[in-house]
Amino acid sequence: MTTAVEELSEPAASVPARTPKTRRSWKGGLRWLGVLPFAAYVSIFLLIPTGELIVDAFKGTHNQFTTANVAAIVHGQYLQSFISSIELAALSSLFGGVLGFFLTTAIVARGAPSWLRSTMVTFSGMAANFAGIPLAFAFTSTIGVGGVITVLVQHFGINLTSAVPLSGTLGLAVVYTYFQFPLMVLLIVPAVDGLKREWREAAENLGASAFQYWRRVAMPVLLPSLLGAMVLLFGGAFSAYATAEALSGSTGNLVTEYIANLLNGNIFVNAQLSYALAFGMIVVIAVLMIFYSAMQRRANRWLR
Amino acid sequence: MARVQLQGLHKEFGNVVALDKLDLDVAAGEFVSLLGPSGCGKTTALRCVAGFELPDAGEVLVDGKDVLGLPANKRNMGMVFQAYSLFPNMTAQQNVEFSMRIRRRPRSERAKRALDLLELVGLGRQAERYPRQLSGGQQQRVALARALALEPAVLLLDEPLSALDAKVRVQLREEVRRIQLELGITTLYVTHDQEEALSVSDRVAVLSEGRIEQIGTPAEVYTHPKTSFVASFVGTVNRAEVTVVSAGDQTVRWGPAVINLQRDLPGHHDGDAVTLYLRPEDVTLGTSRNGTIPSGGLFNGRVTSITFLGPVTRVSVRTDVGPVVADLSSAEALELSIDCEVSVDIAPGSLRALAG
Repeated sequence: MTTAVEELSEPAASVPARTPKTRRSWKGGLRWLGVLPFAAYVSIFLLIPTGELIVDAFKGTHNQFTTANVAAIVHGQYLQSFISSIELAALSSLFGGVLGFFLTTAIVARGAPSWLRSTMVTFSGMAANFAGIPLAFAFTSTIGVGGVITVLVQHFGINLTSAVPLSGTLGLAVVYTYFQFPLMVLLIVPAVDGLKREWREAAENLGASAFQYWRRVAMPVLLPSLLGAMVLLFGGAFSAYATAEALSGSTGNLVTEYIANLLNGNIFVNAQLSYALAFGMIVVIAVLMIFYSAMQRRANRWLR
Repeated sequence: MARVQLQGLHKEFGNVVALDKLDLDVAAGEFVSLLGPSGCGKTTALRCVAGFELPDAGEVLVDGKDVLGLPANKRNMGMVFQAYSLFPNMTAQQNVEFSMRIRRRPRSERAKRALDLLELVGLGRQAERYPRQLSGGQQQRVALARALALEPAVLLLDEPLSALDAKVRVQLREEVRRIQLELGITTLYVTHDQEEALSVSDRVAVLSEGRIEQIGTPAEVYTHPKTSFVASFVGTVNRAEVTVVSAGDQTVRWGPAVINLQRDLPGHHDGDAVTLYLRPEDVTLGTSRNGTIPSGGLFNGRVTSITFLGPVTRVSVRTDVGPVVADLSSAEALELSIDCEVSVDIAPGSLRALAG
């Protein structure tokens, strides 16, 4: 009896589909209007300049087509600058990522005081944007050559500047960590919040230790978010310039610093080579994104 | 199979007493439901047994051994949660295998056991599906299979059906009971749904404010509630404000009618005002066929509402002694309409006095 009713009612429900569909697509068209300003902005300030930059990377000084610039960046000091930038970005993302992750799990944990979470999230919002010259100054004045802490620990026979010079890769990574870990906190708080209490309790009930729960349940669930956040951290550090320039000055060996020097004539003016370096940066980020997509697909397979 | 005893279990959250020296003895292989409204302490009691809450006082004994010192992962208890708790990154089979993987059981053994259990809960063909590809009812079946994987001594179910729709709920509760009987596992089942508790349990413990108001078989709890709370929480009741006419003769006056209770009214004397309770199914209504009220009823009234509940129809009647609710067979109720006049009668011996 019920089946007959269901069978009869189903075609009837699908008959008047035309009018609502037309209305829906019209409304959808209107909604797309909202995206237009963004699309225009991205086109003018991202896509067109990127396209121009890629074209210019393959131009010589007389506008002729050449691969010399691109060939130059995979050798010698320019290749080294890429290696240094990737090392710095990877190291600072690792430091910031790990620190940020542990901090997030601590402030989101059941039983953690609510003031701790709100305080840390507010601080993270501020600290994630604290970069450039002010950040360089903050570190120089504390653990730089004449910094307060450097001088203080010298009394105990510790030479901080020779242990971790701020202009070196490790020193810069420590400095970058200052804005990397708060950014990590902001990015993954929602994901860690999404871990259901029942998953932990179910794992515990099924005999798992806390470590086994994190290894087999929580980390795999968080992995897509963690990967995404780490890629963002890497991208931010890889393209950062002002802090490194302020700390290392003319001794800087990062791609961004080479680009600046080639454009403002600190070494010699060679805009085409700087375009090639910028193109190289795009390639690095593109390779990272491909790797990230593959990892994401693998980590996300249970979501599909 | 294990015997579970809760002895003087006491738990407070701030100023709120969640468990008030609760005692409960569950025999090996028995299915006991903890039934009560929200906040009565039933889930807290279950979480104390599972090891997720530590009581302020009291003991939880499993086969005579206190397990309060053991962490949750060492108690050998399977639990099914109210919210869907399957690990989203694992297939149904991997979820069921989880506990065996933790215990490093051989791959072939755990795969066989997982598939057997999925078969037991009727999901043998969905083994490779991820939780998001399963319906709510299917997820709870997998959760049940997962809880049973290590052959736990005790099965704990914390309102496992409350998120499901009515039809699936009925179907699944019967399956839970079938599986429990098949495996003979001691089971503690928390629910606020009296129909659910009555239909699957060997015994039902009705909780209120952290205490057990009454424990007994479903029939005992329903037909012989000991307190007004149990009477009103388990099923629907009519309250009758009566006056004792003769305690010796067991007679009371309810409005114009003098009724023989056919039972004693201990502690009451002639002239005392007493509140008595009456189940709607013990009320009968006489309908008028030709404009006259049928004689033989206790008193007359007018129908104020008619609610169709399937095989039964609930009819509310306004009388001079207050509102009276009657459950009639739906065939009988066809003769009634709103505002029609009826005579009200009750089954002999159905009025009860309760404590509390």
